[in-house]
Amino acid sequence: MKDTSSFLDLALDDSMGFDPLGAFDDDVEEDAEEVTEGYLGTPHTDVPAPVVDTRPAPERIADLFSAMAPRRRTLLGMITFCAAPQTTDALDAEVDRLQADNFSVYSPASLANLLERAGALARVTADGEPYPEGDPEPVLVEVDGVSYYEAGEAPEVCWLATEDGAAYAEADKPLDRLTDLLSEDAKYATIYERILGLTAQESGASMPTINEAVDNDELLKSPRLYAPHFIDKLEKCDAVEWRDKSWRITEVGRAGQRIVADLVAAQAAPEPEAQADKAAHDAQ
Amino acid sequence: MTETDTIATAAAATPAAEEATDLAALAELTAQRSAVYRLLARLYRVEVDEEFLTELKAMRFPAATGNTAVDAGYRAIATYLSGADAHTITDLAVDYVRAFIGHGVDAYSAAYPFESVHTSPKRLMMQEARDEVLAVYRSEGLDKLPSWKESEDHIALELEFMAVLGDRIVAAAEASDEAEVERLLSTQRNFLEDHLASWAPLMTADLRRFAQCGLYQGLASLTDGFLQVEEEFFDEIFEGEGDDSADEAAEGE
Repeated sequence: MKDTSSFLDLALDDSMGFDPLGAFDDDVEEDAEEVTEGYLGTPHTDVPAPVVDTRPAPERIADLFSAMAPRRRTLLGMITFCAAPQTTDALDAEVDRLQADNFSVYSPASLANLLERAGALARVTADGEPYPEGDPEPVLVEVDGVSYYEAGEAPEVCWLATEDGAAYAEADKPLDRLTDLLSEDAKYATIYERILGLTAQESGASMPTINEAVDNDELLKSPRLYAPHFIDKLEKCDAVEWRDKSWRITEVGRAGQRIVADLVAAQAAPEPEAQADKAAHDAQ
Repeated sequence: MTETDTIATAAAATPAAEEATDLAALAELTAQRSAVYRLLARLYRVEVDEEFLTELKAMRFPAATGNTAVDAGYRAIATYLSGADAHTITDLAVDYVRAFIGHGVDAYSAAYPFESVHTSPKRLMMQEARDEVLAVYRSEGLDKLPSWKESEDHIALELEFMAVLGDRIVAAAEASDEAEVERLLSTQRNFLEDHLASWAPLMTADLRRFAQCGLYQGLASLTDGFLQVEEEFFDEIFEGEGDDSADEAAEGE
């Protein structure tokens, strides 16, 4: 076998006359100190049992998305992409595309394994059939009367979204989340309107631009809030995304622009009670 | 023909005219042994990368060496490689960390690949075993490269040391330097007995516990089996020496 990466080097001269045993005493000293094996004082000799998550797939999937919140869009994108069987290379390329502006230490393989473990993706053959369990047998060959194993060829692995995975992806309604957010945060409707407007520009909006536009608003003085607080909330609703080094509005965000415009208009209109008071005052 | 058969044949050929043939056979056998040592060393040294995986998948693994553990090891490795896909590199990297590095601090959370851990009472690194192997390396004019950041009693380095000695045996055999061949074989045997064979089985037992993929499970078996074969090999070629010593001692009395 070719192996040129040796870590041992002929760095010493044989003529040094080094005596390897000279540095050691013949008598082995007993370690008088008490030996502690592990924090509990007992050796860990048992074989660790493999951890198997027996919860139903929908629960495991929800748990994964909760634990991997920053990767939510990537994970959902993977499930959606695998509506039909996709080769590993194709899936890896899709993950790279999804994460092009959002680097992650998770490799496509790690994310696929996490989704598989949660029950959102499954390995299948190119025909969509369940992938055979276990590794295929190696090939036994005979060369000059000697038997050898050679690595066999496994069927190509493809990835397919499971019913539970597809159901989870379909249940994801970012516009509903955005509607709820804008309803809860109606007080800050003008802030959302401003941010969505900036991100809707052709070149998007940089963070300093957004900061400058909203951070000094009276609405954000007490409690003191800053632009990233709102960007974060909008991003979780898929209303804005970081792309090509700026924040940009998405289709969901454009729908949100219309909602927020209505909110702002409603807030600008006088209250019915105030209108009645004004009418009475005018009549007098 | 197994390694033992080969060396037995070589050892049986005593006439002077056959000495060159004996040394040639020994050189061939030792080159094979060194290749196995290097394969093991590479597998233990760092995670499998794309290039090494391609190399492994193109290899042929002996199916019937005569040693059950070696056969089981090769079969497990070949089986794992048969199922290798585009994500295998990542899977192996994860398993390497799980098997050899672990995530605990209790000294029982992984198959630590350092002799000191397995031979010191408190399972610490950089203990006497490290000093001893360093001394042995230096006695052979060897030292680790600065790029090697682990301690000298890492199993990969101990295996590589055996391979380097094997290379020197091949060179000495080709130069018909019998005395040097004998000295180097003796050094290999002593190093195997005093170091590798004394602790590697403890580590491979842990490796079986922590590794999840077939490659590292197979590596554990292959290591155990190969070291057994090596011990048998040295027992056989040094068989007469012990008897002679005993005879001499008896005559002296």
